Order: sequence, then structure tokens, then C-alpha cells
Amino acid sequence: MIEIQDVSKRHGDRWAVRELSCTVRPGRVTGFLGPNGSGKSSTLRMVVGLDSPTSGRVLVEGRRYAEHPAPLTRVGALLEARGVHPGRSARAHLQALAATHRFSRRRVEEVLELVGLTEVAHRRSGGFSLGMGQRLGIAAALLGDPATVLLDEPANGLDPDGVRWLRGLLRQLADEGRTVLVSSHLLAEMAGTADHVVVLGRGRLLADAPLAELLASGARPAVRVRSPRARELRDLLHGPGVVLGSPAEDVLLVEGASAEQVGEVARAHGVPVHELVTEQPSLEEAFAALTGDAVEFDAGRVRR
Amino acid sequence: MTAPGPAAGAWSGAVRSEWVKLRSLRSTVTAYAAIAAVLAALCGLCLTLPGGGTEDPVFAALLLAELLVAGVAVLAAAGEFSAGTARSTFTAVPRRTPVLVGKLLAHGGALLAVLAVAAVAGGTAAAIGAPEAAGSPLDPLVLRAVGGTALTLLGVVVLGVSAGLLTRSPAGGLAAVFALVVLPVVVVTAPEVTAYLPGRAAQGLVFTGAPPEAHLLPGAAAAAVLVAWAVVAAMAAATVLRRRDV
Repeated sequence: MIEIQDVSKRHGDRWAVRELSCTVRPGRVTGFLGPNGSGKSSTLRMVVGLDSPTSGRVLVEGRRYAEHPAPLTRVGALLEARGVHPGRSARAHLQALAATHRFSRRRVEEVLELVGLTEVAHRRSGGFSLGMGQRLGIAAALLGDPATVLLDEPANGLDPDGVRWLRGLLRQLADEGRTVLVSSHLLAEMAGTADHVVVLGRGRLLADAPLAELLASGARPAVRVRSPRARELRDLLHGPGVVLGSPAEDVLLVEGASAEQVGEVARAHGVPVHELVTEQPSLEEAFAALTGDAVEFDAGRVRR
Repeated sequence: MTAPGPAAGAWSGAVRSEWVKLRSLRSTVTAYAAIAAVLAALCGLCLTLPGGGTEDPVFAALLLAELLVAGVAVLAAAGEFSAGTARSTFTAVPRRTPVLVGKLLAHGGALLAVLAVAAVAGGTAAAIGAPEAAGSPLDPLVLRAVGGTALTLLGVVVLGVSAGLLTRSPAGGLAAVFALVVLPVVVVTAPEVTAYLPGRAAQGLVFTGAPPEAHLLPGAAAAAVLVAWAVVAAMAAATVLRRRDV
């Protein structure tokens, strides 16, 4: 469990995080979303005590991170960029971390095996691909068998097999009752993995809700209908509160009317329908609806 | 997944961790081998040249050893930040001060071990190579030169690790140590004042035959000055390390 309590963080004259409060609960995968520069990484760094908040506090497993006698057994973290010396082997990197908590050599071999790096563990990590580096970072995060796992952009550089493996791992960790917080800019990746999402924009909390709820609150669901007489159907559906789009000659996108209504209208006028689907808004759309202002604000600042 | 064993104190763990890091970088191991060679030459010269010598070869060997040790120490600390390992290091040891102490003990210990081997090797080589010139290894002047070298290089380890943690930059840390240790020896200005800089205090500690106009501090005072520099540097590094964001 991570409790973020009214946390603000200032870097020079810029607020990276402002008055953020949220609780990340165990037993589910929480996605941590937000445009670049929205304060995700700053927040994660404060959770593990690398940065200290300008005001407010962050508790993990009931205490400030640095107050845990064996912090790696409470929290494991993969933070942005690679935290491995290029001249050191993967095994030596993990052994150095393990030595701080007197974890056994066997535990190092276990996490190497878990992330599939056993074969290359003796090689200098400077020659690792981005994906191998990520796997090593995940191994380091899991070294202490922690109750809370933080992963910043873990899917970066993983191949499709690796992404599938990662999803399974995140699910397994959550099912074991751990707190799992995963940041990502790959929204599609989140849609397939997260149960709950926390969305930041300009350092402020925009949403803290189950994924399904966020999706429902975003853009309205649209009905996609394909018909050889699409143009005729378009005139029939035209009415107050209904928005019509036509991405292709024989396809209509209908907002403001349900699939049932569209189907009834088509049947009443004898218009053949070849396809009739309710399209849920994508996470991208929901995300854009939430963060639109935040993104524009940032872009405006950059232009100036 | 099986639960790892219980974690013991952060201090001993941090020392072990820094020792693993020291051993597992090829560049560090190579540097210590080079330091061993230079120190062996230094010890051999101390034995064969009369009076523990202000002689140029000893002078040059000490300076070279100081430079190499400074390089290893600065990189061990600043490298954490330039290579990005600082994040994992200080996540594992969030109280941070044990990392500083771990680095000092790991590198100080490695240095003493290397010096002991080098002293035996250098002494043996001197006894075999120049038996008529070689002094006794138990000559007080020789013992003082070796002891002074040990204290000097330990001081350089502390200065280097501290400067590396304070500047977080290999170049910046090296420049700081260079300015304190090497520069005052190479370019001697205001000798009465610069005698209190670590580089010249080290000379006062190692060399006994220096003329009075060199204005080197006498042995005990030189040792006290070196220790004071080391303590101040380490405390500054510990304070900044605890307060600053990683």
C-alpha cells in the first residue's frame, strides 16, 4: 500500500507535483498515467525516498520508505533509465544490491531465472539491449520479494513476447496480494493490464478510478454501422443530439444514438445493415479528454 | 517466490555491497594493480635511497600513487551518478550515510592490502637487486615513509570519495582533489601557507630529509592536518548526501 498525502514537489521555480493525494491499494495493478512532465517520475522517486517532498509525505507499507529496516523487502522499484554500471555484469549488479540486505546468492539466481537473464548474467551489462536492461531492472525490483512493486515504463524496449510476459508477471504479482504501481505512456498496454488508474496532469491528480469507470466517463460510446445504403441511412438518423461521421463510403459512426435505435430505424425503412457495433471509447480517447488541458498548457509553455 | 533471509544492519551490508562493486569492475581492479606496481617501486626506492629521500624518484612515485588513488576514489563515488547506479544504490540504502562509509572502508581496505603486498615485493626486490645499498626494512626512517604513505593514500581515498559524492561528476571531483593534493606540490607558492594543504602535508609526513626552507610540516603536525582534512571532507559529503535529492 502506498499513501501519498498532500504531496507537493518544487524543482527550482517549477512545481513538478502539486497537492497530490491518493492511495495505491494492494491486490490490483494500478496504472500510473499522464503526459510527459506530468510528475509521474517525481512521484515515484518520492515514494522510494530518492527525492524528498517540498511538503506533504509519502508512506509505503505504513512508514516512510527510509524508516523501513529492510526497505527492499517492502518496496521494489524499477525507475526510469538504467541504473546499472555498463562495466558490471548483471549478476554482480544484483549481488551488490543483495549484499546490502544480506540476501542469499540463491535469491540472485532466482530472480535472474525469473526474468530470463541467467544465460547472459556473466556478461557486462553495457552490451545489453534496452529490453535486457529492463529485465535486469525488473529482477532488481523483485530481489527482496517486496510487498509493493513500482515499475516506471517497464514495457520500454521489450519485444512482444516480453510485453506478454510482463503482463502475466504484473497480474501474478497483484494476485499474490502485492501493491503494483506501473507507469506507462503506452495506453493500450495499460488497457490490457491495469485494474485501476491514477492519472496526473501538470503535477495534479486528474483521475483515480477503476479503469472501466474512466473508460465510461470519457468520450461517449459510438455506434459503427456498415450499410450499402449508408447515405440514405445518414439522412434517416439525422436528428437532435446525434452526431454523424463517415470514415468510409459505406460506414457511419453515430454518436448520441444506441445500436438498438440505429437498428430499429434501419429496419423501419428497409435499409440493409451489414455490420452494427457499439464501440467503447478507447483509453486513448478517455485519456485525451482528461489531459487535454494539461497537454495544451505544456505545449504553450514550450512554444513561448 | 521464496522469501529472502532476514536483513541485518545497513552498515555491514553497505560495506559488503561496496566491496562487491569494487571487485566487479574491471577498471577498478586494473587501477589497483597499477597502484600496486607504483607502490612497490616507491617502497623499493625508499629502501635503496638514503634517508627516506626527498629524492625526485620517490617524490614522483608518491605523486603518481596519489593521482591513481584519487582517480579510483572519485570514480567510485561520482560514477554512481554518471552511470545512474545511484538510484539503485540509494534505494537499497535510503539512509545514505552507510554508502559513504562502505566506500571508504572497501577502498581503504583494498588500498592497505595493496600497500602491504607492494611493501613486501618492493623490499624483497631492493634486497635482491641492490644488497649493498639497501637499508634495513626495519629502519625507523623506512617505516615512517611506508606508514606516511599509507596515511597519505588513505587521506586521498577519503578526499576522493567525498569530492566525488559532493560534485557528482568525475571531472569535477578529480579537479577538486587535484587542486588540493597535486597542484600545491607541483607549483609551490606561499610555502608557509600551502604547507597546510593535504598534498604538502603528505610530503611532510613521508619525507624526513627535507631542508627547512621547504616549509614542510613536521610529522605529527602533518598527520593531524591530513586527518583534519579527511574528517571535514567526509562530514561535508555525509551532510550533503543526506539532504540532497538523488
